Amino acid sequence: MIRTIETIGDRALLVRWKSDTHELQQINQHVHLTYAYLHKHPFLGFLEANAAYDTLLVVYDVLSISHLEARERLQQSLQQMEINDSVSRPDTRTHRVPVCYDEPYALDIQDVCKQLGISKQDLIQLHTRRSYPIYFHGFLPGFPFMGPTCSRLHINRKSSPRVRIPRGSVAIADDQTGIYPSPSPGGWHIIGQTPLSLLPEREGDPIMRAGDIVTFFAISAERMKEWEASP
Amino acid sequence: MSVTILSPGPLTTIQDQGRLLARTFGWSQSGAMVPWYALLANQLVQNPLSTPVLEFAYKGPTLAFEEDAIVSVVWQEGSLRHNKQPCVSLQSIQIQAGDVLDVGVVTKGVYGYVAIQGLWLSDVLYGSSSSHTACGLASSIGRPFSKDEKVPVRSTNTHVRKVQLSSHWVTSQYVAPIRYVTEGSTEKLTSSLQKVFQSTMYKISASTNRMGTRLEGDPLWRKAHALRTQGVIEGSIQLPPNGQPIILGQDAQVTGGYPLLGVVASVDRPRLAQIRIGQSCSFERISVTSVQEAYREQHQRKQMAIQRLEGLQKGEISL
Repeated sequence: MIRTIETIGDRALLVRWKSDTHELQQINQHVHLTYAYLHKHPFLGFLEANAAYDTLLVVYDVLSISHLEARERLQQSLQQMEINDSVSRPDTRTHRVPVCYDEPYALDIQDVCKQLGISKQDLIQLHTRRSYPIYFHGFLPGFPFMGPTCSRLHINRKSSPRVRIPRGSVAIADDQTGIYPSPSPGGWHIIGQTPLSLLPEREGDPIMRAGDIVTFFAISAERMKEWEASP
Repeated sequence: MSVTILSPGPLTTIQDQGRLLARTFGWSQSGAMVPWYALLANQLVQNPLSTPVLEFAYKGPTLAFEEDAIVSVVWQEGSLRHNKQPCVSLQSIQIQAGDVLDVGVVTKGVYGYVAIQGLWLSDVLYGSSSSHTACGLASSIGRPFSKDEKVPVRSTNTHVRKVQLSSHWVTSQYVAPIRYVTEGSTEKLTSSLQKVFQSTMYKISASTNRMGTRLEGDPLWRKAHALRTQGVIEGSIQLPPNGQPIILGQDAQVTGGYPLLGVVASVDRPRLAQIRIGQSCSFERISVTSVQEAYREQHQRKQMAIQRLEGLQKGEISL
């Protein structure tokens, strides 16, 4: 896979993967491997990195290295990583996420079913039968971008976004699925809600990480209420 | 907890020097919009420099103290009252139990800071107490202060030699346009767009906040093209479809899909943050190497200034 390094402003670099033969999902796995490698073997001046689909933003310390040095060192790290092909991310975890697909939690489910020409049962089955890698977190703290969803669930974003989407809302848009970790405006279609909290309440709480796998399972509205009452 | 917020002002939050390593979880660095002021405020009360402070915008909080305390207020200019009497900022202030400190209107610049000597017990997430007001957490990390809330600090009253700083400690020496670099620009082909951007006088929009500075000016039109979402950094100049640039702030998203005109130089981000709503600014393109040098020089100057302040507080040197 071809990677290029771009300079982003005065304290970051962007590694961009280019490939005609690999699926986005495969490329994204490489992005996470690179993220893991850089954290395990940080070059002098490396501060942190965050992934997107086919890019990795690398932030460095301007007080210890210049952008030319940063580029050089990052390039070296990428080459070393290639030589050492046993690089793996051993701690990929799978998260099973309960979702109530019933109204009033599933704000847009009727609309979505109508648009896609499927029943609610179809939708639940199509959404729960796949496992989704977390491509990255973005948009809001703790918002996981996941996919790809089954082609029968592909749907354009809403033409007018909702002003306030409840916390825990499970949503789909294009070929992706995501979870709103906090109340916010948003343009994705809400097909359910999870009682799980995606944000750490205090330091060290376990949370989902980019590269982890997520599967969804359906729960009833009663179970949802119980869960909310005693998490 | 011995300090109560009688009135919070429009946006009073806890900030420190920001968080690191949380970008991958979707958290930008947050932290003080003008980190230098936060450092100075802490040094004035002889707190460790990474201690949280209260950050406010346009108008400060009114604070009631139940115990003796030592505090400082650092801003470019504003009106401060201690027990209803006018009081001078940019120095340590001795507070007696029962006192009220009214941090009033900011008359120059936007952001100001209150440091309180003592042990801060604020929540910490990813190594920082900084509020990220969009994150939705119920703790002080997720929201601004409200009326009658306690400041999570156990104040102490360890004597500090009073040092009065002059206004040049908080005034930027550099008054030229805001510098930005085009490395990171996704509009490389349209240098005409960069020309227009640099020759436009922009007004700071009323919807500017810690998440982003919104500019108002002649719209920059471009051919619409969707970008695949990628990591973005504080200072990135986004160009949304309406043609009015948005510059990402401390609480911005960590990923974005709008085309980028470039990135504001790190050394100039606090200067941009201090431009008030309705005021104007312009932008000037500059090389990465020169702004990195400027950043390092500024860092050195600030370190020396802190050392000088420490010396003054110890009585080793005098003004």
